[in-house]
Amino acid sequence: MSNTTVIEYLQNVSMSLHSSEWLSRYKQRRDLQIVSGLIILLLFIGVCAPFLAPQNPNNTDLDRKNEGPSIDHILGTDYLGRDLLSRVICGLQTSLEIALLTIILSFIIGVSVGSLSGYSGGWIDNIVARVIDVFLAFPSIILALALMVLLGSGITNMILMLSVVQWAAFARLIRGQVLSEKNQDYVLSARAAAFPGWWTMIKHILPNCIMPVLILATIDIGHAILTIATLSFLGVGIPPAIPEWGSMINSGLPYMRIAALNVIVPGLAITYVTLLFNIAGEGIRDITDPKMGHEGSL
Amino acid sequence: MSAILEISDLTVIFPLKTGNIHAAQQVSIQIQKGEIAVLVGETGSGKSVIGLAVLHLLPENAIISGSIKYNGDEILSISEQEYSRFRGHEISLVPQNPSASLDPLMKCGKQISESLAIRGVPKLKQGKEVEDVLRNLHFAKPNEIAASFPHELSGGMRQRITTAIAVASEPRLLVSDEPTKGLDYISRKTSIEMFLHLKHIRKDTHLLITHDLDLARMIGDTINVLYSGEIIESGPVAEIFTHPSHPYTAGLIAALPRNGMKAMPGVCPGLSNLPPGCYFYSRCPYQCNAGRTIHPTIVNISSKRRVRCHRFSR
Amino acid sequence: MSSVLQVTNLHKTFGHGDIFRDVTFSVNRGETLGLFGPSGCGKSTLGRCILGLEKLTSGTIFFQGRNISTLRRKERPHFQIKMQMIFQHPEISFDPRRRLLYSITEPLVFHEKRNPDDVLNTLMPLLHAVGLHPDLLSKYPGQLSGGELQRAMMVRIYSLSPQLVVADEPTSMLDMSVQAQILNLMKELQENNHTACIFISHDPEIMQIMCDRVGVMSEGGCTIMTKNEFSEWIRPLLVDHSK
Repeated sequence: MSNTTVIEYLQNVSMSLHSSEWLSRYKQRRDLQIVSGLIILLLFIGVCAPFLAPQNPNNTDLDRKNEGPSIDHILGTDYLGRDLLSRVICGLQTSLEIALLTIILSFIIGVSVGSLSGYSGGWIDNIVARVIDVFLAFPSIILALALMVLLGSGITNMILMLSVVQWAAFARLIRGQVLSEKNQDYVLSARAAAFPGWWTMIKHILPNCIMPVLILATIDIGHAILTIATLSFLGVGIPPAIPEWGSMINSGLPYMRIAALNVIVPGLAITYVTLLFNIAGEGIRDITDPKMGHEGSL
Repeated sequence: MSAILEISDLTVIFPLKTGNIHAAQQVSIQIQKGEIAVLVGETGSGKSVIGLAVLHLLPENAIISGSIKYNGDEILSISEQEYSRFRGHEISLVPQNPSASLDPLMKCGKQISESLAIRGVPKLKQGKEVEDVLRNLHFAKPNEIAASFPHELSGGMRQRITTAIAVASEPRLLVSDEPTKGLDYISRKTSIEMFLHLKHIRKDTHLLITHDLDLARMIGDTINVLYSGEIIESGPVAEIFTHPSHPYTAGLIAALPRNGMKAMPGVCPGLSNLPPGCYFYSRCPYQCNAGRTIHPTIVNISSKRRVRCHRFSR
Repeated sequence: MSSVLQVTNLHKTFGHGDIFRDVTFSVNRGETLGLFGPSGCGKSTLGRCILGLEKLTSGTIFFQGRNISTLRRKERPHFQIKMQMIFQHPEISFDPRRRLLYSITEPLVFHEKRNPDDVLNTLMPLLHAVGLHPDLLSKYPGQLSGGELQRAMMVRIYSLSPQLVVADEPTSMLDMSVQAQILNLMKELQENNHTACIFISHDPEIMQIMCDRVGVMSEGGCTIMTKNEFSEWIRPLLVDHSK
């Protein structure tokens, strides 16, 4: 064993790069094991939603409006007699689908733009940085609303428009990382070895910078779900036929006093899923680089 | 007989999953009043660990045995609370990285005053005392320096500021941790001159931990050479430098650029993988038979010199 | 012309002042030119500018007889690989996420389109020459000592058979005995390969033993001195050993 280990030990620095380290830290964190289990469960439910839902979420039954819990409707029914549990489960699929696609798209756009800009430097970087600032300056909900009015509703439009809102955060984060990383000696060494920029970026810079962005992406899945719910609560975005938690809350509000579950259950679902992804994101941060946690939140 | 610091059989082990690290093994050193004792060693020699032990800063899960007596009082095994009455007041540290040790938002003079306050110097007198301290440390314009922020000063000057903070509290024991590390030749020269000056006017008892042989030779009285966690040679500085007994000491001196930069082959053994015989055997130019399997004990070769080498054992 | 490198009137400003100006010198095959000065004098920056890792404000650089300041983009790599650098902080000179095997074989893998094991075979003599045990190649940079990393860096650099090596304070972070080993190794490799070397340091004693000529940098200027001139000049600045 190398002599550097004594000093490392004394300074409590952990080598956060190796997957074996990550695995051993993961094994020590009971709470994160539970959270990851819950997320896997969530994803499973989301994918298999139509099969897991006890009834067709769109089956209306006007004779059984706003009922409380019963044997064939475990959580009761909504104002059109549709089974609440089925709608909540299918709503999960809707939310997850839109959120995941949004995050993936905005991640790709954001990381590409941000890293290229950071690596290029000079006037290109100056312009792109200002563009990023403009996008970040808009309150995301207002921007989303405006774009929805412009583009019209529908799931594809929603994904596109949410990505437009979201990419800037990724771009800013990766740009900052790349700006600092590109002056490191090992990057200079790569340039001295005459590797082209794209090689250095893909092989060296990005792998060393990407983790904070992945953590942000995880946490943003939760935020995206919240935004989607907010928009559909406001009546924008999702066609009413598709079950979505936000619109469920919206339509359930007038009947709060007689069928409160229609509002409470979707509300809890939104809270729970957002929280789960937040914790997961912080968990990834704790496992891959505990030091990061002490420098303040992302 | 007035040993300010007495380290006896200090052993420090760090338990790691991959094996125990024997950072210090039965180290014994005595420092008399007014003496400057130098701990010389390279990375992994254990010198920093000994300094941390004296300062009561070892991590909690370190396995520690032996004793350290300061002025006759045991300080190794006491609690943090009991130790705190010594730290900063009677036992002061000149730390390794001055830029990281100074508060960037506080003027230098104020940081030195904090040290004076520990000693109970009244606020009105602090300004004058700060000036005196800085003048003693070879600052030509003490008032300007006192009014500056750390980032306005060079690396060498910052190192003198941290030294000022340490001596301002009039400690009985000064501990310096690699004070010239990372300094360029100009700053290093002024630092060495500063320590020399301090030595003449203050006569502090000083435990100096360094791998800078020039610093050791210029200001040290006694030197203890550490290798893989043990003392392998100790004695008066002048004698050891002109006539080193242990081949490692000789090798270190020969490795200096001005002495021809002759490199010793090999590397020191890792602290979790120590060989059975003499730790230096694989690199030793003599490679005596005993060294392969028998671990040498430290012996006195004169009233003031000790060495750990089979060539000197009876 | 046996000068590998010829620089003329190199100048770099930093907005409000000059980092260096009017720097002119040449370095021949097998020769070591030192760049000496206290911290902040711009010697590292000069080294990087020569290798093209930082931009010059003005000045010309002739390397292997070609004016590399005016090279077209496509031609640059051909010359770039022949001028290499050894850095001051070995622990960050390698990509921390890559094992050493990857890092030392990467240049040849990329430029000659070979696979790593094949490249490793070619590099075995070099590994042996620097004293790097092949077992260490499966480790990450963070698991190795400064001395081991500088040896690995020399393998990586010399795999490209450079004509010029710029060493930027390569041993200031290392222990004394390791420093002696690494510097001796550098000298040996340089002699065997007839490489020109620019050695940057703030340690006057290392300068005297490693360099044939020394460029002393102060206040933005660079004065070239012979070994003897440098020894004379530096004497008052050395630590006085007569206690």
